[in-house]
Amino acid sequence: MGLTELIRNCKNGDVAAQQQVYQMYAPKVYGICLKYCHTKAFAEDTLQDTFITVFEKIGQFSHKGSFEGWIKRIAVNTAMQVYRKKPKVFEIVDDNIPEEDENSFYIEDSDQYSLDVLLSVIQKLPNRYRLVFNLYVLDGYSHQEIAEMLAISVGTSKSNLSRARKILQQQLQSLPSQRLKTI
Amino acid sequence: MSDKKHIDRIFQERFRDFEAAPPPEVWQRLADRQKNSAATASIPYYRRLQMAGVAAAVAILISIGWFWSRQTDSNFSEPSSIPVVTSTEDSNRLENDLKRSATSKDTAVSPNMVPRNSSISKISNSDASSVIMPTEIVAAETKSTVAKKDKLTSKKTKIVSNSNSTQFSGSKTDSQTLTKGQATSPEVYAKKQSSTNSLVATDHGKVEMQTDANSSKAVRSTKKVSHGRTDSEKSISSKSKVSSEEPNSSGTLPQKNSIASQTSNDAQFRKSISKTEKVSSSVNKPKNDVAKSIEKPTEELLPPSIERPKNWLLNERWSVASHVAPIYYNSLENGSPIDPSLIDNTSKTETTLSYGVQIAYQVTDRIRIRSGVNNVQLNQTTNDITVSPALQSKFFPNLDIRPGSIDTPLEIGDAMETETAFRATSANLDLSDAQNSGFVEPGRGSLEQQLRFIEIPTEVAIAVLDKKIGMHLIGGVSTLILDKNEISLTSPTVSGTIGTTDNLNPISFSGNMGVGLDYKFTQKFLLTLEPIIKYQFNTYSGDTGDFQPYFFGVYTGLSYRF
Repeated sequence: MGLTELIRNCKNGDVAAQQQVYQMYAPKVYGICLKYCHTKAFAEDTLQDTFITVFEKIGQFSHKGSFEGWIKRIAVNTAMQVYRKKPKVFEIVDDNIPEEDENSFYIEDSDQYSLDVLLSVIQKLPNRYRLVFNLYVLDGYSHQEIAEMLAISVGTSKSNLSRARKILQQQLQSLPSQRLKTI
Repeated sequence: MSDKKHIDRIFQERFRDFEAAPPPEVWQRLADRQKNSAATASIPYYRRLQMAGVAAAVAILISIGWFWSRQTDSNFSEPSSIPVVTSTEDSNRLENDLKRSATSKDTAVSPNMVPRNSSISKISNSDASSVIMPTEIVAAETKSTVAKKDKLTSKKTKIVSNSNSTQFSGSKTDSQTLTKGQATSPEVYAKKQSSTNSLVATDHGKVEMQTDANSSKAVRSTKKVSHGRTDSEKSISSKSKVSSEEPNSSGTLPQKNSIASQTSNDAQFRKSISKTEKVSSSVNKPKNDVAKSIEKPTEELLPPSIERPKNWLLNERWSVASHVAPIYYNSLENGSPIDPSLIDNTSKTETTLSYGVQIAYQVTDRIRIRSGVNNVQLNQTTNDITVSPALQSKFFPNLDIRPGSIDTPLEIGDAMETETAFRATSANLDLSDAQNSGFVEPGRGSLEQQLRFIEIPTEVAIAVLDKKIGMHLIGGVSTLILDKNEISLTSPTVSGTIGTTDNLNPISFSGNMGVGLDYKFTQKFLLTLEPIIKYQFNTYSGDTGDFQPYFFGVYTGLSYRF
């Protein structure tokens, strides 16, 4: 069954087609959710909410762009909504940290940082820092876009990114070498 | 060997094409939800609308029925408790009423007539059984009364000439008719009341005494009256005794039996009437006294509404009104009136104003139909629109840009899509290069759609309360004639009206539903307050996503009846 037909069946509420779409894209979406959410449980909820939205709005998909890109965009927006709707989950973060020199963020990498380690340090970041870091570094959003998405200023976005990098750097450098070897 | 890398690069490399296997229970939860929602979603929205309409209609009918039954109950319960009056005057009134109901053509008046007819025509029936007749039975009886009017009149003449009847008094008539009421359903009654404590009459009007003490009392009182018929007070007291014993005798009758007896055949009905007439003709002087003494409370107990011309509204059938309303415009589902690709964009609607005039016609004392002309303005702004200079103008297909409204060619698009493309390009580049890559971020703007309609409503208002403060339910449809269609662009570079949208139908419709309150300064001048929701049906042609617009207005105005 082609993707177009699959999408058409999903539009008609065919649960089998929906399951197929889920199986095709859930790993990618779950990856996004794990990056953006601070816990696995939140990531699972976001994954579910993403596909609920996908199946609700699939009738509006106009085949102008890629289906995968469309789903990923919904995933990011859904993850953002979790933290946008609940401002209480935002920790108190310092928005006025001066940007550091880009050269100060170079660290040694001998392929010792596994994906799990990197994911765990990302998830430990304060919510705002994590969102900004993910949006800018991993998903290519500009500071202007991030500022609009999170309703913050561009300067705050840059400051948050700088702070996130700093924290990540410290976290990675402080990891015990023995633990790194076991992962 | 280890080399230094930028921390961003480390994360980008590891998270490139990052995937993770989701727990299976997520799909399970999702599938359960989808199956449940599929059942609801499979019902088309217009079908859901119809179902909602039917539900609303049922609710309205139930409300009307409830108010109606409340009113009729209060009318009927009083006459049924009125003591029996068997006087010549009453007989005359009965006859008059029969004539009046037979000749009456005005259906609106007939409900008022029903209680009176029934209460009097069943003087000899209902009082003894002391059961409040249900509305439908009363109506049936009234019909039969009307139909048999002529026969009754002729029968009366015959009975008056019957010399045997002269021995009965007014209260004798009561007890006679009491038994008659029971005897009309002999089979049912005999089964259920085999050991009943009531009077049983033979066909010839003889009274037999049962073993029960209550019955004896009743009969004794009857005898007392028949012996001392000149003593009007005694006869009244004995009669009321009979009444007081009713719960023990006929009061135990199941309501079914009572109803059966009330809906008895013509012969039985004629009998009961004839007995009244018999007494009327035979007992003259003393009975008149009794009648006088009883008639007064009877008149007092009659509900005043019977005498009052209730349908005064029908004399002032027309009314004109003017009103104004704040309008709240929104959509039931996400969607965009401009382009389906703008569904995810944020939008906001303005609270606008609607005003107009209305004319209404009172069809019955409860139902009013109305129409008029309204002016409705509906504005919606869609945000996150990108506006960037281009070699050739490019914009949403539904936009019809007015020539000359834009000086330089512009590309108007969805910020989400445009920026995705921008990101997709920049993501392939090194981030440090991306900022110097020469991409110009497009300016953000918004599109405001301004619509104005001439609305012609056709509505029915059903009154559920008609006092100083009245309440009515409103339902109907409106025809919406498109009067103004403008699109305004607001952006850092260009602002102003740029054209129209061509996905609007020139004529569309809305389904209206609401509740109205009115305050009557006088019977002619009213202040009205009507919150009404109007769901638009086919305002847009083509794909607008799930855009299902509706507007809600609180219409306030003044109305004049004439």
